[in-house]
Amino acid sequence: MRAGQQSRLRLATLIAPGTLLVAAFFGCLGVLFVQSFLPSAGMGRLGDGFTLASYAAFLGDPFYVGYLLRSIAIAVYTTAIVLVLGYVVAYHMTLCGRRMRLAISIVLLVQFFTSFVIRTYAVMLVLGRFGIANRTLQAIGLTDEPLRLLFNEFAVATGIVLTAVPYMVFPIYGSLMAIEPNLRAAAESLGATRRRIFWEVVFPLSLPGVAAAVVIVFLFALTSYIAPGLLGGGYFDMIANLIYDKAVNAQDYPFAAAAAVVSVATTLVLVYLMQKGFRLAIRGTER
Amino acid sequence: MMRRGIAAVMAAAALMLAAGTAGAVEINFLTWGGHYLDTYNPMVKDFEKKTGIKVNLVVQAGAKDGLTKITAQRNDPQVDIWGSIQSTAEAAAAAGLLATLKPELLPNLKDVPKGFVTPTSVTVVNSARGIIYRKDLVPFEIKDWKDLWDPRLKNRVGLSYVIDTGSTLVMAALVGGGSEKDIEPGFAKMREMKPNIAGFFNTDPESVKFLENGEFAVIGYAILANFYLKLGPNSNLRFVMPDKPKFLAGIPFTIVKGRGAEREAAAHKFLDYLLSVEAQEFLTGRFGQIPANAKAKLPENLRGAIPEPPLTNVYDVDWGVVNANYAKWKERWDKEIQSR
Amino acid sequence: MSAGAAASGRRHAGVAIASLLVVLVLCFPLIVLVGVSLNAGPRQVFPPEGLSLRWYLNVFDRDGFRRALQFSLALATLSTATALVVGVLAGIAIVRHRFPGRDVLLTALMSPLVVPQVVVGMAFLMALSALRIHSSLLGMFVMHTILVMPYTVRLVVSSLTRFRISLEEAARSLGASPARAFRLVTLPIIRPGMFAAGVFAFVSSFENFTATQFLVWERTTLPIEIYGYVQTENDPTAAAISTMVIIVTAVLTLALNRYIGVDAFARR
Repeated sequence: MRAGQQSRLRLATLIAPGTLLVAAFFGCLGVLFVQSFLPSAGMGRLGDGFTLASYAAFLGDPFYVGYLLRSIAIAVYTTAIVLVLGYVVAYHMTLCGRRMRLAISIVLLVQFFTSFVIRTYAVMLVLGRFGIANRTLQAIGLTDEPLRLLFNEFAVATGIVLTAVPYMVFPIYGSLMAIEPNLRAAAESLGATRRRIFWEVVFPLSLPGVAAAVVIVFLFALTSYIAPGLLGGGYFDMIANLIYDKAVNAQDYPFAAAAAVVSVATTLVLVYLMQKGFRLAIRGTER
Repeated sequence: MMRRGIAAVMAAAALMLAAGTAGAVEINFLTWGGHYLDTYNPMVKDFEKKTGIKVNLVVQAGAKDGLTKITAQRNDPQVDIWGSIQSTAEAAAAAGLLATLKPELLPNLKDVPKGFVTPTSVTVVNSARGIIYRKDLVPFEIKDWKDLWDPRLKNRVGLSYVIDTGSTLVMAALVGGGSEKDIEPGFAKMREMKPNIAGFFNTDPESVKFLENGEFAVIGYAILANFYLKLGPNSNLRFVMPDKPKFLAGIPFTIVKGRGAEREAAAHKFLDYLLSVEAQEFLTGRFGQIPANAKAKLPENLRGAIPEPPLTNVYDVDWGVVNANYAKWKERWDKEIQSR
Repeated sequence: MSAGAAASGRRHAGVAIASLLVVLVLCFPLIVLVGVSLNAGPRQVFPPEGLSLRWYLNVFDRDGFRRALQFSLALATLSTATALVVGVLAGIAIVRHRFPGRDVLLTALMSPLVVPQVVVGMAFLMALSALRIHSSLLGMFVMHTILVMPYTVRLVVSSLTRFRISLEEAARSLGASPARAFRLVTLPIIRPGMFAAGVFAFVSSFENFTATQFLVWERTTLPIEIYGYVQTENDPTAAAISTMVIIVTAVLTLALNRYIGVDAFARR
């Protein structure tokens, strides 16, 4: 009994600080949640009472729901591209020498220390009117006029992919490193081809890392704000841009709050489904 | 004995502290960071030396962010004096967050033209608004708002709806024969401009970058203060302030309601200080802005670089109308203009 | 490892080429950044028009940058340290204890990643104003701690999951107190993970603009100060600051690599 009490006390001490911060976070969000039900007159003016008008305005207009759907679509396919690119780099890191691994790690780490705005701006210098891509195309005579590579979905997707790759590499590299080297050797000695070893041994065992990384990158892509702002040129704004515009520029807090509630709820459902899917896949490989 | 001694010392200290705080008024001045902070810091020190009133500078990332803060604090105001832009000052006034100014506490107000004063705000400085463009990328000299529709600018113009709360649309409406009260011609003109539009930006720093890397050759509606330090004989940028109509971006100062009579009086004193000829000429030199006080002179080095007061033909936007329609127009703008 | 690695490296030439291409592309922003910061003129162009270090000197000339840098460093250090303590405690509870609501707690601790930054910033501003807390220092500290917590929790949880509890139990059965067992056995094992978590947490606090802008008051953070600066003086100073931040962090990482190993970053 005393031991039980002691362990319960210990557990309470362990989780108290985290729970407190989480409570503070949800408390603050709660204030905004309450605002989503207030009538709004725009420009910071709020009425009294309870209304679902902001939810109706957001969900009832395909134009606004379009921001969310567009964001989900681009997050899905950029995550897939980032997965392929990130996996290749992570896999290479397990095969190459120590120095090369250190060099790649440093390039990836420095990405985290470089602000998004600057990394996104660099994409602009590649895709821009006078950017490297256009200059190259013109030099080799493929085009006379500069192509419009910027200010569209393609540019936004490129920006998201290039800024997200580092987030994908490390978790996958971690789970690849954890694979018992003998497993691969054993498979090899049994005469398995490299392709079979990869798909039947290496890849399934790296799934936990893939699962963690995919969720992070998906969230990163879905909540993108700087990439659409700088590279979309106003033609491909995503959900975070809409919420920001409604909250800050139009000072329509109830609409912004309602849009945020809907998109956070949708995101949570998608992440839950994703995690469930990965858990099934991982369990499948364990059999 | 000892204890009583300590108590006596503490009581005396508390008394002194109370007296000290009662004597010195402190007010909070909400404004932008960066260059603005560097500008106001010496002014605030000078003001404290002259009046004994301490002014604390507090920072907003943007004028709209300032409005968000003042709105959030409406039950327990923390700001005394606030410098923002015309649309946010109007929105705060409409929401009842601002104190009515007392002209008797602002002796310098007599030298400020009527157009710069509202019941709740005084414009302290003005920045010219106009078109800024790359001389090397535009094949002709831009002179008028109408030039933005010139076919030679195909795919070269950068615009923003959000900057200055929909001002670009108001300008287009005026060019099309309407106004903010008759916005339809604005949308018609904007649709007409679509082939010339290269893209849209959200912040002033963005527009500068886009202009420098050549994504935009022209910023269709720009504020001189943001480019002023980049102009000059060797620059490849040129700023024009088209006539008919002229637009000014004023920096209105407002006093927030509910901070008590003493602080309100101190805020008035600081506002009056900002309107003094000396302060006005200092501000003008720092930003390339046009002073509101008619007695203030442009510094020698700014002659010819910025429009000289008094300005005629300045269009006075009804910000109440713009604010009321901002969100509705934005939705239409996104659907009709900001789409390919 | 090395001989075998070299051999398999040769056999995986396709993977190596593709990977190096990706890494090369990722180097580009850094080259651009350094190039822009070295411009002789006030324009932010790449390639630079003439070389100069004047924008680096400009950083130190300005009082505003120095004060903002001090504040940002203090804020990032404090919130990272707090988030690490919270992360270690909660991580131990989640990995080692079975209690109702364990998954809920883990999800809740990770939830700041799901909510857009603008929403977080507005929510804090409104809640703090309603509570009449006007100290931006306290508000920013709590908000940054919450924003960086997901990184510390995730890394600590995954480091602990890999580590067998029996080691600590063995130490305790040999008479070590729980605190001593933790310090001598558990801590060394999770230290690399904590280091990586600390770096991620620190950087995301140091860089945060969108949420922080709502809470700045009497002191500004470096990103906000830079934003204010570029409103009127859009010159390469911001690029110079970023370059210096990168050099410092890269050198620190390299130095610590000898003790901890960059592989620590993989344990997420």
